[in-house]
Amino acid sequence: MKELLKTIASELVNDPEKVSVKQIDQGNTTVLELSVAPEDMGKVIGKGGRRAQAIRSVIKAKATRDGKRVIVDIVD
Amino acid sequence: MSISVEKTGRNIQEAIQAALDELNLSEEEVVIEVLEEGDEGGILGIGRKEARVLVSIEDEPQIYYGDDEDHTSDPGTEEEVIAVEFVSKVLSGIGVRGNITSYSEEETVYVDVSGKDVGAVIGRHGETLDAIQYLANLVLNRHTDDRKRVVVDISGYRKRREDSLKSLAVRTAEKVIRVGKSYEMEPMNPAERRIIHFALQDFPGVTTFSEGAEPERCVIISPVKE
Repeated sequence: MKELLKTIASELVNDPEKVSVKQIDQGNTTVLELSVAPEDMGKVIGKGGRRAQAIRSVIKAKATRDGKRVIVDIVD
Repeated sequence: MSISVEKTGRNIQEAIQAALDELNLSEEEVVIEVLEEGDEGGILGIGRKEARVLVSIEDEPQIYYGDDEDHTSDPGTEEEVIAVEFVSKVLSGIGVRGNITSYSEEETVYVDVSGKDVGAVIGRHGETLDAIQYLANLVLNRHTDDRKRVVVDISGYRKRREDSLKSLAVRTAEKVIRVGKSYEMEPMNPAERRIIHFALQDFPGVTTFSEGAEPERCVIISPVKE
């Protein structure tokens, strides 16, 4: 799940080297904290959060397959 | 082609670790099959049985580029390669394997996915499919100067959805005329609303428009008062 998030985010930003994902498992729930270069925040959030929403949809599909719940946070 | 390693160990975890060390991979990157659970035995290891596991690397998705007609392998345009590579990364990341074909028509790159369990990535009302398509559009337009559009379809879902929306539109329009009252359809995304509007634009006796805010925006079919 972590790798998938990293892959997608890296494809969207200008500075893929600054993309990192922290994974925190709490029982059946996984929290993924995505951080990117400050200039790239807009690239992963998008207008009205549309990009973030699309990223969450894809990660959710993966989580559902794994029988897990996932929360994707974008942190700065 | 898949690679597998069979290992034994005092317990399952040790056997898995030995295999992972040899493959130089982490547990998330492989498929583990326990062949024998093993038994650590009693005091002094009496009755001990080694655990045995088979650790394999899952097959990479089979990717080929082809045109719509006969799927012969032509190399595909630069745009097709970018779009297919992105979709392929996302699908393998989610954990489904399938074939991906692509073709281009004017400004649109079509990426078609087919395979055994690819239905899992369509999502409710095609939500996941739409997300993958949206992201593929962003990625493609980062790499190219002129704007291209990517349409991603999985197991013919879009085509089937379009057909069922068209017939739903016609059935609903007939009902609206019969009853003489407006009817509000379920919320749909812009592409789906467009299909409804388009299907009924020449349908006599009704008019269509959209109302409400996304994502609850929906098409209303109204009778035309003569």
